[in-house]
Amino acid sequence: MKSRSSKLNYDRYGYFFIAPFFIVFLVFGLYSMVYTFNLSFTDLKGWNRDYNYVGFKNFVDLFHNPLFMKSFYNTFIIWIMNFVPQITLAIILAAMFTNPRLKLRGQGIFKVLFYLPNIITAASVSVLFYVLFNHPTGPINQLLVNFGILEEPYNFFRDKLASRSIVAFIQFWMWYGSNMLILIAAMLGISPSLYESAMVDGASNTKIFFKITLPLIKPILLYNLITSLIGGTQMFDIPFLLLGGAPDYSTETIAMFIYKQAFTGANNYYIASAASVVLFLVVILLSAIIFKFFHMEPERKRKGVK
Amino acid sequence: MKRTKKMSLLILALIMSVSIFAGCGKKNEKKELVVWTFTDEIEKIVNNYYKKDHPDLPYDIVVRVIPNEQYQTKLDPVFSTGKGAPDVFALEGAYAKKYINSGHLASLSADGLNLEGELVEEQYPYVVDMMRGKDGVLRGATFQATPGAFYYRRSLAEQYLGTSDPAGVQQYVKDFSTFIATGEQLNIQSNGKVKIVSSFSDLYKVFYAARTSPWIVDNKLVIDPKIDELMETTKALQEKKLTNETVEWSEGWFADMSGDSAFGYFLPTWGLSYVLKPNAKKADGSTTSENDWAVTQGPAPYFSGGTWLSVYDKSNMKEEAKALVEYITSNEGFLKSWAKDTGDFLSNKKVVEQIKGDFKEDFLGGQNHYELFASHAGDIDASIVSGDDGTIGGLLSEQVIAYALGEKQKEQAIEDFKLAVKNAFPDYQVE
Amino acid sequence: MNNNLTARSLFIYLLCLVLCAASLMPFWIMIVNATRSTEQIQQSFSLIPSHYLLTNWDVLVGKGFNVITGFLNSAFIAFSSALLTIYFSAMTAYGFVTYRFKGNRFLFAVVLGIIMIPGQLGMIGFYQFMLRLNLTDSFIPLIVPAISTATAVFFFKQYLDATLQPEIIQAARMDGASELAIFHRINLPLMKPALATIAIFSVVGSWNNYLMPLILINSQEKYTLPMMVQLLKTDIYRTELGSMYLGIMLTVLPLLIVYFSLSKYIISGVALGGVKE
Repeated sequence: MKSRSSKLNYDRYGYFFIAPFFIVFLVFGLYSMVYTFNLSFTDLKGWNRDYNYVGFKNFVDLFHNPLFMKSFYNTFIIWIMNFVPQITLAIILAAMFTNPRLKLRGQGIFKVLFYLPNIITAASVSVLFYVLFNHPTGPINQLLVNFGILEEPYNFFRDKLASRSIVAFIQFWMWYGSNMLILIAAMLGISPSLYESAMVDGASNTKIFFKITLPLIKPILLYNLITSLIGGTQMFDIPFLLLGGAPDYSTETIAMFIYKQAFTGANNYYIASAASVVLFLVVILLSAIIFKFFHMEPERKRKGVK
Repeated sequence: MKRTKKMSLLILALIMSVSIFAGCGKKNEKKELVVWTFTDEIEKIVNNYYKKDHPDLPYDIVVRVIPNEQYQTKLDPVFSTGKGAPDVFALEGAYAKKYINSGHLASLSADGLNLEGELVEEQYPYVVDMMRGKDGVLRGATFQATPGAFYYRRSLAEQYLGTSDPAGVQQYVKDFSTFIATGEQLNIQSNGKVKIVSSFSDLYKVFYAARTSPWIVDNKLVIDPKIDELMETTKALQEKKLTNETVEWSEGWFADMSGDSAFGYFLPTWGLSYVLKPNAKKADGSTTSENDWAVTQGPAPYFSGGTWLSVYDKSNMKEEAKALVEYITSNEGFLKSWAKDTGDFLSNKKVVEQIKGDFKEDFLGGQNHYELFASHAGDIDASIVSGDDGTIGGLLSEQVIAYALGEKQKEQAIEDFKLAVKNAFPDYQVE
Repeated sequence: MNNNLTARSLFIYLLCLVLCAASLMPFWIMIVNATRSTEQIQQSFSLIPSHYLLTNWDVLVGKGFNVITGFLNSAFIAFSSALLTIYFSAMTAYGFVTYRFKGNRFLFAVVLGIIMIPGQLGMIGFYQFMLRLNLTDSFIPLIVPAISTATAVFFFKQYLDATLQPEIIQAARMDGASELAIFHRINLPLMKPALATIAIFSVVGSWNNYLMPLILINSQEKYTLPMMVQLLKTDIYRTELGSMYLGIMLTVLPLLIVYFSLSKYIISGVALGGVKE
């Protein structure tokens, strides 16, 4: 890596390595992306096949649409409600399972089981939770009444906070295992010798975690944060199938807003496209802030690994 | 390195071969009439009746069944791109109008496939009106009618109302103010044990059908007086505790069918065999309400569900498609055996008149439900149905619930409803 | 110290057990419901199995579709796309991490941008384009796009940023190995835990993908397993809930097998054993 000429010589191989990805993207992905961006400046809707360009009108309208703004608010509230506990638990579990000192029994089975909720489809999960929290005869209500915690059944799905919490809980429950697996893979990638020497030096578990593990998995934590942010802003299946946005639009997410505009009502493809573009720009902005926050300059970090 | 390269080549080759294989499979010598449907009824009709009556068709009929939830998702891209469309496809009442006015459906009127005269003469008016576009052109037809009624428990009626006879009970549910009064009577006399309905969500479809104005007139949203009545009725039912507070199609709603806590249900023709009968006996066998039911018209005529058939306008097998549609809607031999085999209520009143005397339902205490439906199917008015009803009804029900449960004032609920309509249909004027 | 430790591990075990119960609950309910009749499921919730398993099975098979075909189609799609995803994404990520070519950072930013495209609306554009390419009713649009899985590239890149040591590559070059050989022989084995993780996610995602196949596939002999299970809903007036749960259970079963067999790479982290410091 020292000599300039040999570096240049090798570096052009990079293009071959990344070529398949971009070729396939150009063939399969680019069209629908350009199509969406194009539509956001038009008035295409319903059964029309022709459209006119309307400039930025769609975007201006969106910001005057209280339901769109509400869906933005809902999405971020529900995302924060599920992401914070989710990543915290995932880090704790991953650290415990990769800690060579804490010889937990049966950790193999634990690791395997925690990911399981992610395997079932969103449709089955939402049916299950709808039945569990149903009013007035659902099992949760029956339990709470039988134990005297509630005097009469409570209609969870008519309570905004409860509904959002249930959606957030399902998201949390479905995804903490997946985050944990990613973090475990990252922690296993750390050279064991680093831990060994730290343990020889007599460092405590907490110290090892904060001084070695956490800095080294920073790139993966960034990955978790970014993908979860993107996944969170595109949250659709669970809130849609569980409640369809009720009560009073408190669980309607941006992705649901987009879906409903495009595929129900008057099939307003133009509004849906414009909302997609806004969502896209917001996610880029937030990601850029997170990247900045993490200070992920590739060169600097590379030195850190050595 | 060579090995992995070979591996990836192998994978590619495999994928290619599959796709080539897929391409080949399409080439079929025989022409195909493609039918899309969201219910397996049409599949049964084609396979068990049509093909048997027409053993020598010079073409294949391929029926593709797609679940109702995803049916529109599958249809929309096909229509908006104009490629891969079926020749014949089924439409459900809830969204039929959307497609009728899409410009992609073949006309069945005199200028088109010319079935209109026959259909108007033979069928109940509402099933024909349902398939008329804004331009008055007919673009679909059906074999079934699905009028709705009020099913109630005979023993509870006898005990608390003093009559179990359909004509007698009808007097207690003839309009909605009487309906609420009857609800109170049941509630008080049974010490709160018997509620007139399990869920107030049963009532929406009855009120929607009772409107006199469609949702959209001259591009403007019109809120019919019946909507106000719906809001007040559900609120009264809720506040006076005249329901079991369940939701339609939920566990509690089904469970109430076998107990003695719900007096009746608003269900259409098919609700008898598909909803009430299977659930009249509690699954653990502890209680049953079997053979203790009867059916009466209730406060207003309405219908719910139903399957219509339409022909794709650019199909190159229109005559073959027409032959199938005509058979399913007008062939007397088929219709008679279909009604006999399934108990389905037919849309062809000519045939209904011939067969209605043959029915007697033990489950309904020997009542002839076919006769009841036959006497009311003609009263249903589908002229106010539009393609937006499904979406607008959904938007309204959220506000009806919010008002009935006391979460919102009525003015607020109406305002929020208007806002939601404006959001879904920006082109309509909302005041 | 010791007391503290046992108290702590007791707490950890307790937490793990609660989480395990939460993980297993839906599977148990699925199994229970697969043995109950539609009416039982409609009328109440239960954790105790009933005796309608055979009836449900008969209904499932009686719908006239071939479960084996569905299974093979789903398996073919899921495994091909998982293989393509991990191989080409690892390749792309390796390209970004190892080589400082011109436009490296910009192109990686493009990859990140691709992840951020909201998926809900792309469907119509994708369908239109596949029609133009004459690729509807074919597995290609369900498999080949897996080559360009941006999230996997991002994950592998982050993973390699944290773990790959440039010295190893330099050393291999000194030994005269070709660039592709270095990727295959040195890098891929090093990435095993990461590859297994993404392989699991990819198989699960593709196996459970329902909407895309539904829109693209028309012939019944190309139906995937989830599409077949959904056919149980096509009797509009009545859904055979018991059979439906049985069908969902059968759909989940192969996934569990794949998952359990791949998870050993994640559980026993010996992947880095061969790396010299």
